Amino acid sequence: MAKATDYQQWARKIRASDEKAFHDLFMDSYQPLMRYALNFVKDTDVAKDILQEVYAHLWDIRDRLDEKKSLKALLYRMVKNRSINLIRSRRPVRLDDVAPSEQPSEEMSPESIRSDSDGLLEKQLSEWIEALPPRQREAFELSRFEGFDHHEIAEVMECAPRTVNNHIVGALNTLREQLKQWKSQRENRE
Amino acid sequence: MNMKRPDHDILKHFSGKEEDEVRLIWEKARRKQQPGDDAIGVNPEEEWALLQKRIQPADRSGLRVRPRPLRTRSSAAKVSVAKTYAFITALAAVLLGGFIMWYLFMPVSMEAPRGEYAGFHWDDGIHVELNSGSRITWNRTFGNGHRNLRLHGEAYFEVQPSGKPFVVETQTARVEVLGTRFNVRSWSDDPDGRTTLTLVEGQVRLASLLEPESHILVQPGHTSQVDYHNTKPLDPQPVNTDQALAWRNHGFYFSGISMSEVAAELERRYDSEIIIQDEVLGDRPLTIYLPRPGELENIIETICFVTNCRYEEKQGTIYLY
Repeated sequence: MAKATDYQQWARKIRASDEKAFHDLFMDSYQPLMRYALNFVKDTDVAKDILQEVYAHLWDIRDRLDEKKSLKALLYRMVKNRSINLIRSRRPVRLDDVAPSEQPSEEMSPESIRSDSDGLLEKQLSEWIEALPPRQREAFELSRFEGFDHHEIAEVMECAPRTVNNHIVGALNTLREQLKQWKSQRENRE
Repeated sequence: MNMKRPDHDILKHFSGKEEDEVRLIWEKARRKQQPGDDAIGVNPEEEWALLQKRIQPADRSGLRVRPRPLRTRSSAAKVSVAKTYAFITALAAVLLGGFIMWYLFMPVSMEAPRGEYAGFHWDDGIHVELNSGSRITWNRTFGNGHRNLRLHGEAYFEVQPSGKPFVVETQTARVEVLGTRFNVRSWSDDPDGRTTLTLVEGQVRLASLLEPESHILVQPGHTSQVDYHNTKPLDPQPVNTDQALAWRNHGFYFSGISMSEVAAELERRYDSEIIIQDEVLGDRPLTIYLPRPGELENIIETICFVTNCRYEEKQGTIYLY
């Protein structure tokens, strides 16, 4: 994954219509942005269209890019806004409803719980993360998986950095609670 | 950036054993497999080729901006249905809550609806003017022992000296005065929760609700600010009060304010809908003084001239891009 300084350099070069830099940015950011878009729209083809729109628009407005602002955060915000607009135009939703998909979490069988391994905890954690409240989940994922700092997350989520902090701490508290329960369940079975 | 470790700002909220748990969670956290992962048919190279076809011809013809699909009328209608439900739910909550609170204290409020202004005189020498979309609330004990009210939005106050303190509270700040003329601006849609105070005459005391002990005194012709990050009010800056109070004569004055904030103000003043379809444009700071602005379209034209943007009106909504 590219460093923050790469993004700054790309922003400067793209402003000067450097297509090579635009290509590098595209290649580096495409997969993570795709994954991010799929949090909202669920359909790969729709997500592809959104990303096409976003990159084309970024190229259109390249002369207006602000080097002092995070280009990475801008990309995520553009993907998010377009995804939400698209969902809104299809059915009435509140912003809170733009929630992660609700896949039923698999019941862990006693056998699988007994086969004590790290892989198991990782699987559990990914389920718990999925079930977090939407805003908490978004802040946590951007921080943990996309390597955003709090100011960048605040730009993507359009809220104050202090709020980002609260969301992440809240997410961690929920996850800690689940971790405790899970551990004591396992101990009881032994 | 090390993603194996949570940020220091996060860790400081947890102690000892908790911190160990947090570190474990952070390290073991994984995404659930989903279709965005490399395996399933999205090839960035293919998508890049597609993108190049899109951006190349546009560049040659010198056309920079492509029309974007706009929200359709039907979707707007659906959104308004959702809003109606939200409104009904909110109304039910307000009725229930209001019944319980009735005996405790009855809130009284005055409001200037969007697209309108409102003025109000109190018996004991208080004069209030409200900007569009603003509201003040107080309770029935006002005038007996205290003169506190709460402001949502922007208002201008004239208070005759009477010995009794007069207090305006916003989402972030407390403004305490004896006798004076001043303006307070504090919109709840501001992500930083900014409250801006402009003093015309007299003297006021300004403090953050989060840190009431570090208050400052503001002098006439100066402005200061409090928000979620600045719990000590900013050092007062000299300001042209005629400009800062342009709204009282239905004018506009924006100084280094982001386009999305300007659009929010225009929406309230003209009770209209303005959508900025470009995140970079929305963040752009704008400085503009329009003492007699006239029609909304004139203002939009001026803004587009200054910021080099374009606009389009569709079914009563203005789109900026």
